[in-house]
Amino acid sequence: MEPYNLVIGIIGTINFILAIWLVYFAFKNVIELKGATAQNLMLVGALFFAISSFISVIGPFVFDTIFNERYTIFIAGFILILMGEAYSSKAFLKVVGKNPWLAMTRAFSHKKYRVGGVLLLLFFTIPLLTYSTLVGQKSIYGVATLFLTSLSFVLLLIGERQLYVTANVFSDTGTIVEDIQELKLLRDDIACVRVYSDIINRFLYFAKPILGTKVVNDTLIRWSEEHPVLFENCLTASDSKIDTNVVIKNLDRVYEKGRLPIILKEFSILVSRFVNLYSGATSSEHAIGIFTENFKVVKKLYSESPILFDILRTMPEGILEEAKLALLSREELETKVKQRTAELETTLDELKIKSIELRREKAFTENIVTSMADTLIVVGTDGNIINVNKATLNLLNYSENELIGQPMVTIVSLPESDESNESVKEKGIKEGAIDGLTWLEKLIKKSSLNIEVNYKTKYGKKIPVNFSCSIMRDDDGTVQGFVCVARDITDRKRVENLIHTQRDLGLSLSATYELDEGLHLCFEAALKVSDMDSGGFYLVNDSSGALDLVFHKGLSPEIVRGVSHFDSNSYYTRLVMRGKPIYTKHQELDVQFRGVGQNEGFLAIAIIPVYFEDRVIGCLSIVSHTLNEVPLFAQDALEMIAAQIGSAIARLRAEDALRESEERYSTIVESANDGIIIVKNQGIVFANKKHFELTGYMAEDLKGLNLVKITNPKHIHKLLNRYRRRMAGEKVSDSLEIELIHKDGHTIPVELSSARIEYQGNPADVVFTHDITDRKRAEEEIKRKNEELLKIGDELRELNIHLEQKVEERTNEIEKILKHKDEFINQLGHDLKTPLTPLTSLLPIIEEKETDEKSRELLEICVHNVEYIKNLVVSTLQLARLNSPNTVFDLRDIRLSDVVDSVFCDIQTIFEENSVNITNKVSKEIIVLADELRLKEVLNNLMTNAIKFMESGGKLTLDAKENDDGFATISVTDTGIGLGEEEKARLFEEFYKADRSRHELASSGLGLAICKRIVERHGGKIWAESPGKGKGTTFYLTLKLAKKGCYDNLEELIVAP
Amino acid sequence: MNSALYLVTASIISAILSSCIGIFVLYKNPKNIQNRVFALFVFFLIVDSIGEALLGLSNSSEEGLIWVRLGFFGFFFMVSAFFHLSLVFPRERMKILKNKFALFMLYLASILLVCIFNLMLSAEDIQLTKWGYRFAFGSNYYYIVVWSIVIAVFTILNFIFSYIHPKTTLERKQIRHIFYGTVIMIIFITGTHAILPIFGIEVFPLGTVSFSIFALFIASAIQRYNIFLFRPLVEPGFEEKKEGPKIYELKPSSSYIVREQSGEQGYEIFTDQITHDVSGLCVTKFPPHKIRAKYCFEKTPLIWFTFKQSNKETTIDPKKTDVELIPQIEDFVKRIRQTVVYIDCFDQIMVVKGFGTTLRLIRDIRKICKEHNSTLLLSIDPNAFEKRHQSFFERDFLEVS
Repeated sequence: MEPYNLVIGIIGTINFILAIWLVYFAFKNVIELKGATAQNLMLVGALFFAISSFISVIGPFVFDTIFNERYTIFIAGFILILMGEAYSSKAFLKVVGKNPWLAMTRAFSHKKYRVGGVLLLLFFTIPLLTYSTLVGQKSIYGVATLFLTSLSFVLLLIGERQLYVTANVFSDTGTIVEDIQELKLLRDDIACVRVYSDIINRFLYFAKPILGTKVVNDTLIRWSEEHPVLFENCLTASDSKIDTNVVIKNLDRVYEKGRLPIILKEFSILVSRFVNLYSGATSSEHAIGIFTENFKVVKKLYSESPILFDILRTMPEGILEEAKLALLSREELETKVKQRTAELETTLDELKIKSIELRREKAFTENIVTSMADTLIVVGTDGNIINVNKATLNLLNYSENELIGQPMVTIVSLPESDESNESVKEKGIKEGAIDGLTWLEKLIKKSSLNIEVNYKTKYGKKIPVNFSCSIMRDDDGTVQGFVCVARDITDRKRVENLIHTQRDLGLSLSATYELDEGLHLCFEAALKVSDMDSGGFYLVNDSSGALDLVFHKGLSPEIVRGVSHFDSNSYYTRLVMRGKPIYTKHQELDVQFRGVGQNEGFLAIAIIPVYFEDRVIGCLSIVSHTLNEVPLFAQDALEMIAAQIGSAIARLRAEDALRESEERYSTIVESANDGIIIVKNQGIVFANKKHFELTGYMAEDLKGLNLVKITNPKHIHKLLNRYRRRMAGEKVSDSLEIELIHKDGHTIPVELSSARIEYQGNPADVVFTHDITDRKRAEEEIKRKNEELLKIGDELRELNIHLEQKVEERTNEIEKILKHKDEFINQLGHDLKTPLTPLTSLLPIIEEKETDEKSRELLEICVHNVEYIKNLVVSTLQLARLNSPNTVFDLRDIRLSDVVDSVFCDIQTIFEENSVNITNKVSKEIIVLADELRLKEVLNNLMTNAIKFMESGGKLTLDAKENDDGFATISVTDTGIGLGEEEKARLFEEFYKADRSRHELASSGLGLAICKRIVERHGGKIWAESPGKGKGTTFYLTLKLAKKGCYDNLEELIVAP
Repeated sequence: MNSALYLVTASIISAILSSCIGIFVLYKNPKNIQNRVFALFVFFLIVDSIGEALLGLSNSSEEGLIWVRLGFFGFFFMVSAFFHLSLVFPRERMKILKNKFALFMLYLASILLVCIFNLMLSAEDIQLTKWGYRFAFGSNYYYIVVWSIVIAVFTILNFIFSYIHPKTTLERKQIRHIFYGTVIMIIFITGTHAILPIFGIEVFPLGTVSFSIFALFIASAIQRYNIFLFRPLVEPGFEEKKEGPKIYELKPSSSYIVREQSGEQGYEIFTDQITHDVSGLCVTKFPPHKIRAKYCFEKTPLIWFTFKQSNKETTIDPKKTDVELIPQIEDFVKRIRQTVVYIDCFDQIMVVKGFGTTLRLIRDIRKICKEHNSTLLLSIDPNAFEKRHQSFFERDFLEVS
């Protein structure tokens, strides 16, 4: 045999075995899945594979050749397998249409082996097979083909095997399915659903007649709505049951990895719900009984199903408890036994621990008894003491041997005089006088005893104790003895004593109004609570700061003399004023007193400062003849009493002050100039002396009298209205004027005011009545005078009106006259100037043409005279205009220096002609309120005047300064001829010429008058000053300064260009 | 078959696959910014694939030049769009994206590169290879590689950041899918198109193949985790206000549980809230028409947890609760200031999804409600949960009694 054929044959044999195996499983699947078309195709395909493989085997081994025909059969098998796969994956194909990615993933994961096998065949084996057939040679391709075929078979085989296992499992449910997806459902899940549904359905069968079909149906519907995942549409239409098949179909919805526990849980809740429902209708036992019976039937039916165990295990608590135990496996039983054993061991350990704890507790109790502060005595039934604790021995000064065996009555005595005696009587203890066991016997009838008695010490001292006793019995209830526990209440008694003393003191003080008596009470209380016997009480003198003894007891007169007063700087006073209580031995303190009380036998001394409002106001000084030192309880008691004394003194002092205040108040009220009454409940309860005088009523008449009764009826309404408004909380005027009726019937005008006060603990009104008779009279007089004045005033008004008319008429007349005057002056000026004009213009011409020297001189004289007349006329007219009120000045803010410069410029030629040096010192910052043209005229006048009276080479200076009064003073100074006193006085008169020799003919003598008029019209003034003849002259004039705001604007305007 | 045809076929398949997914995503929710950006990215990806395919079919380098220009136009903008996508997916992380200028700047780089590239490109850069005409990377074009790598790194960093700090577990799963696809795509593109050719190693250009792979990842994420599929199912509404004060004072941003079997107390509390100016959302396992009738809900939206299909009611598929419920709740609580979310079906969600997934779902919902000032109210049947499971609720929830 050719080696190649041999290889093919061997691989073919393997293939054949695999193919037969494949057929086997395919066949099994056909059987299990009962008619699944896909599996039929798979089986046929596998058979073809088997035939093809068989040919591969028989070729080499029987005929020593290779039959390529086997490939045809192989391909046919492959096609069938492929069809089977495709068919079986119907769901896959279906799902691909709507959900490709999901379907692909799932399909591959579940059938990976079979699909792997098919793919291997498809992509590798078939191409190789085709190629090797085409080549027709014995090549490696043929071997590879067969090898890959084997591999494909193996994969298919595993796939089919897995399918078989799944199908086998699934076949238990008896359901025939074609959808491969459903194979995923495990047997247990389905079995669980079946068994549980069966149990519930059987239970419902019995429950339905009791609960009613509607209730069962409603519950199932509600259940399916609450648990839609597993139980949606689970109610069968025909009868009230769970449709098992629907629930099985719904299984696919449940979380795959924990499906069984979920199913068990869901059904368990359902069982619980129905059993509870049934229990409500019948009883719990009945419901569980019915359920258990039904379960037993189901258990028989599904006895082999392992799911029963899980079902039982998860049944709700209280249901099938016995069955749960019965179904427990051996292991579980062993576990249970182990658990129980462990529990018992734990209990045993706990008991041991408790035993140890008990022993500890016993020792602990003994310790408590021994170390307890209270006395504990155990008395036997014979009345003798059988046991005592350490505290008892310490308290009573007995030894244990002395006390044990003694009758209890030897150490007990009742208080001599105490309320507790009564309680003892009530308890029937006193009867028999504690002798024998009478009280203890009586006690047997009661459960316990708690009274206050005295214990007697070995040395006879009585100690008050709180005594309690209980009966000691054994387990049978027989009396074994008595347990007596007593607590030393000496301190409590002391405190009670202190409280009682304080209470008594408080009561006594409240009834005392005298300081001395109060101090006496306090001092007695201090002695009582401190167990001390003598002493005194000091008060601080507010003015000197010294201490004065104000009360004492038990001190000899000699001692009292020695200690009745301590200066403010004495040792004792300083000691007290330190403010701290001192408890010491008298001898130690007495050294400082230089032997005072040395022979009195004082032992302990207590000095307690008494305070009021953080200030020491005195001190309590207590001494004892018996005690060596002040006991602690006494110290506390004394301090408390001292505090009480402080308050008491303060109260008593305050009351004194109050009394004084009341007296003062009474004096004021009685001596008041106004009547004062107090009205309570609409009746007068108090009235002062003045009121009695005012109204003529006496105290007894007024008492309880309503104020209205003594009020003029005309004013009652006013009075009541005010009262009501005041009571309503409205604002009323401070006073009210009314008339009261005097006892003898005449009326008295009064001004009444009132206020709300508290009188003797109740609200009342205090009313002040002020007699206004005199004021009323005065008012009448004023009224009369006023009327007279009004008459005179009317007459004056009439006269005024008449006068005003006259003034107006006169004014009009004057205005008319002034108007006529202006018109006249204007007309006169015009008339005078008109003939002069041709003269002034023609005469110079004639003068020029005239050749005759003499004639020329005459003409020159004419020209001068005409000029003079013209100037005179112009100046006169100008002055007249300035005097006229109708002449209006155009006042503006102007810079003074500019005006001066302008004037300089105008008369520059004259300055030059006369060789006058001019100096302008006027500051550019001075702005005045003036008519520019008029101001120029004034300055022009003054400067030309100055030039006239100066020699050639003179000096002219202009200056100006701002004054604080809002004016600027302008000065024009020359070095001219100067002025005499007369000239200075007359300089500004009209037509006055100072030095006529210097005046030319044309000068009118009106220039300075015009200047003066102009300056005055500006609101300023003008004057001239000169040191004397030949020493020059200075003219001054004042002008109003411009306002600051205008000044700024002007500055801008000036600077801008 | 000619080798060039393999590349052409791969490019065409990529273009078809991508366009299918892009159209699908845009169709599902055209108003969503994520869907829009993804569609934009896919558009440029298709342009690039078509350019690649036509370049392979070119007969001359001049003709190839046109398709290279087209392809790179798509590529440059695709990279920017993908970076943009990483900023908005699974949620908008940067406020800057609301600024149109910032968005313009994001794409400005692409515009500049397109301009520079087209200016520099010549027919000499197109060479015939065994895969047909291809663009030959010369030294002048390193900037494309550098730019691609820089943007790719930032894109991956963005996805990593989103993965480390997810709002919900679902987001983490979504990002994981996209992240894997992105990494494969970037490695394939930069490796086979740029880095290996730069070193003179010629390999089959896997760019368009990687697009197809990426498309498959996206498709898988769509299928499994509903990415890009969100569409609001419910509209918030207010019930008529009742007189009198609230009986149950529930604090905003807090979570409460009601332990009961019947679910009636839970509804009572929920009704008390929604009739006092609080907008409510109810996720219920009971038929909504019954709930509406019983508790007189008129405007309060209900989501029905059911396997049934209903045209009248808003339903949620229990199998997809973990991926569908959270976006719906988030959308609801985001839209109204004061809301209450009532869920009575957690026991059933646990039956479908298992406790682990259910717990994660509860925590995610709680987190979202807390973040948006909403009150979460759960009604649970104590019998349906194990005691150990209930302890998880006790820790995070306040109990209403």
